[in-house]
Amino acid sequence: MTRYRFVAKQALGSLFAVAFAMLIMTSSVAAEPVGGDVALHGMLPQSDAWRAYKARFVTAQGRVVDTANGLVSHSEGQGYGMLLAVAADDRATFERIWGWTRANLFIRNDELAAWRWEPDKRPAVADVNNASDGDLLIAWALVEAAAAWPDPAYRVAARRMALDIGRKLVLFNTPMGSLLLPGASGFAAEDRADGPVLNLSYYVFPAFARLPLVAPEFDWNSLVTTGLRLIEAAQFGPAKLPSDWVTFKSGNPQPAAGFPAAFSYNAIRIPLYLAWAGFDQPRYHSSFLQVWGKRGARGFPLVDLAKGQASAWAEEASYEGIPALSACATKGASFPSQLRAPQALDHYYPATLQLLALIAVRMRYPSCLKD
Amino acid sequence: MPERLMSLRASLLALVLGCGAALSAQAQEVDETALRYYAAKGQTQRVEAEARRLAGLFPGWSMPEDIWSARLPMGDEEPLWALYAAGDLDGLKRAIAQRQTTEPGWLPSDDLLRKVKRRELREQIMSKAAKAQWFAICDLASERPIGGFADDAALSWTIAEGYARCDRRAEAMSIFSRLLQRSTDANERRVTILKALGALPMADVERLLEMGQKTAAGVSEFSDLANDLTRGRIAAVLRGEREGSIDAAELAAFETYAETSQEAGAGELLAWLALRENRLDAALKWFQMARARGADPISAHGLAQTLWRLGKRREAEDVAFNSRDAVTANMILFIDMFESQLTKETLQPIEPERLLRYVKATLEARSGEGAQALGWYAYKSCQFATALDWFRRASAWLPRETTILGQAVSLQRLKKKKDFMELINRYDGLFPRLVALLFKHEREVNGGACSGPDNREQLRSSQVASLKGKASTIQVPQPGDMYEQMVASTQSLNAKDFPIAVASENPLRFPEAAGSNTKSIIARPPDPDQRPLIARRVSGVVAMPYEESELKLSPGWNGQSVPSATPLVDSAPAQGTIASRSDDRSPSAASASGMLAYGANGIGGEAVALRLRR
Repeated sequence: MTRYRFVAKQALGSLFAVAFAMLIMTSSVAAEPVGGDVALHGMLPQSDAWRAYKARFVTAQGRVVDTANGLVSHSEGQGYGMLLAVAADDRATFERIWGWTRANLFIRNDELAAWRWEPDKRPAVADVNNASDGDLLIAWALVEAAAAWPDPAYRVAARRMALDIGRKLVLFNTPMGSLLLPGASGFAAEDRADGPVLNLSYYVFPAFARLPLVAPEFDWNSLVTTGLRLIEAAQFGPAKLPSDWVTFKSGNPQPAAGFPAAFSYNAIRIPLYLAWAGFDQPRYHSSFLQVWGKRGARGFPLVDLAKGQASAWAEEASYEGIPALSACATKGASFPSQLRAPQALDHYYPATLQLLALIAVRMRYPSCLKD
Repeated sequence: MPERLMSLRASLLALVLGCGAALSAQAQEVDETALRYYAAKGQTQRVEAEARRLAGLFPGWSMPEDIWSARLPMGDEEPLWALYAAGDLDGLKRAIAQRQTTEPGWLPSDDLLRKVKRRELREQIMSKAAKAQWFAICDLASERPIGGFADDAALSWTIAEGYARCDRRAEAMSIFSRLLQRSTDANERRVTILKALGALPMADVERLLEMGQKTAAGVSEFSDLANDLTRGRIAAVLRGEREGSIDAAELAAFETYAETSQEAGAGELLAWLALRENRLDAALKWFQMARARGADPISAHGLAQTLWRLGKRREAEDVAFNSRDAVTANMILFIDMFESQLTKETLQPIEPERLLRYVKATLEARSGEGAQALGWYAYKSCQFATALDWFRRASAWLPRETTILGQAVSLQRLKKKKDFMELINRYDGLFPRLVALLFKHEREVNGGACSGPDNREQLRSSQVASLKGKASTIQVPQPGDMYEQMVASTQSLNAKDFPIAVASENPLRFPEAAGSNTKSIIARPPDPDQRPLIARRVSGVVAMPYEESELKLSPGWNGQSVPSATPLVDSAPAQGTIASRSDDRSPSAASASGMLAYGANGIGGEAVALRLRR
């Protein structure tokens, strides 16, 4: 066992050399890694919004609760909670959420989190597999925590996670670029007839700009360039929108088998992460803005891609944070004042997305808040 | 940023400064004044002659599409052109707007408008470059043809770098190539190569180098960039972009440079190359030399790796420990090194001051890996209370199966049956090897070195004695005074112990969580009666040991009813990932080291005959 472990470390040693070489070779002309300039810390200064969020969705133990979904928790939700706590400059709550996360989700034999946890179940962990976006969000939050509150423990945990994300979840240098597998198991070419199957909303673009701070040996920027290209390629049906799950088995991406061919609750985060990372070019947002323009009284449509028509509606008002962010990023539209405070009755997921959109506006497009 | 390693940056800077005058002269746009004058007069032949002259001077230039349709100035534009020449674009726009109010119907000439737009685009691109917004540069450059900028080397370099960084290498290459085709300025040509070195893979740079000129004696015009080019080639090897190593003569010349210059970066690059090629003595020499000259802190990681692989473990530990604050990779390396040391099958005596460093690093990093290693080491040294303290931390920080197992067997040794049972019930359905502790039908023969009465924390280790030739004592430091001795239960195991309803959350936190002053309104008070006693199926987990005979688990969250054939956590990494490569096949059972310790020491499992309640 020990012997094998060190084989891995040696490989990482040479990876380090790569990083080092890249530093030498690129720093002559590059000022900063792409977009790596903006720190998250302090970007959610409204203590009321954060206090309300904590009270509604974070248990005393540090578990972030999906209130619309049987009160379960996800690695993703823990990552969101940690990011929000850093943005709110609330180290005690960050510790609480991170403490729960590691004590309850890090049950795998690597540095990735089990993705689903359900209360009052025996055992509470529902699935040993990970979710790559959850791991990216947690690792990114740890990077931001280390930047905000210097503590070797945050840096060490961030780096260990980033190493396993880079080693186990990314297919670098494929003909299609760098592919982020949605989980360590179950989505690769050898796992599914239509594999690799990807979830483009797992490309957490702002995280890729910050992970080089702890794991510079990986080419995180290749995930950015590939992600942008894949998102532009995955425009399905009359609405030209991506499905939540996409097969990239051939060069011609398609909605993946076994999942609804729909632009739904996963994919609505794509424009959030794009805008958050500074990708404000209209061509990335136009098909999203177009479908949001068709919102009805019930909210904005989730789209059946074959028909190009609404199959359901994102009804809770907090979801409006994402269209508002896209409109702000692409057109400089003012971020509506009612979206700057939490909606009293909305559930965990829309409420989280709303706060994240607000943070993205503050970090990247502060002029949209100047009125 | 490794400032001292910036020789590439330095030479680039010197070259740019050296050719500053030439650059600023050439950064002007192509002067089409005469061309447009002739066109306005309808003098076709003169237009063609001027166009040939410009095309000869500027290979990227082509005839403007609007040459015959462009609107001529309506009246005197001199004051406006003066503002343009002064670079005052805002003033120019104000002046245009003002003139349009005083002279209704007046419009600036197409020539002026075009040049203003071009200048604005240039400023936008340069400002994006200063903020490293390469994708924005790609978009800006794509929106408009940059033929008109063919003579603007600084802008061309910037756009080319943008293209390289947004994954449009072919376009970057074509800009660099065009610069080399056009430019006759020696410094500008060298800067072009250096800019390409910073932006493109070395293979592309080699193609650009082939465009260079040679003297009759065969000397390349870029020969004074030799060291920078060698750096680029070494970097390509380190990135895995280049087959084979560096040409021996070239490498020897670079080594001579690295030895004679005072620059740390060259030696550091040679050190990483040697480490990659497993020339460990050379790696050691170059790392030490580079560090004496003030190398980047990251070199401490290479040095520690080299020492470790040379078998100089103590020195490797020293380097890693002393640089753990500056280099996170060395904190991790230090912990991994002592983890492997502490979890060896046979107990190795370790000096107290060394153990103290392990403790220090573990607590600083709040490392589950370090804590479980100390737990197993204490366990094998028969210090079960100390072991439990470390395992409790490990379980708070990284509750893997072997760690929970370590916590469980420590509880067992300490006869803390209630805690032991709570732990196993909590992880029933998830950790089969843990649950198997209940299903050993024969009592293990002995506890190895720790058989006999537990002498608590001062037990003699016969294994250590045999190693050292004399009796010695191992004393693992306790992580704190958290541990309170509890009254051990001597009850024998029965259905009151398993299955029983326990809280599903792992409550361990180190340090203890600070009290929260916010009231959570969603925390549903757990109702112990509602807690299930039959475990459910967890995706990715093999059958529980008791399933063979008596009981099947309830379906999983997704309806799954059959167990996994193999543990998901031990499955092979996806093909094509770095973890799947032959040089990085790490068994995912990272804490199997714990299992080795566990197996080697022969833990006394309780004999149980268990009837499961339905």
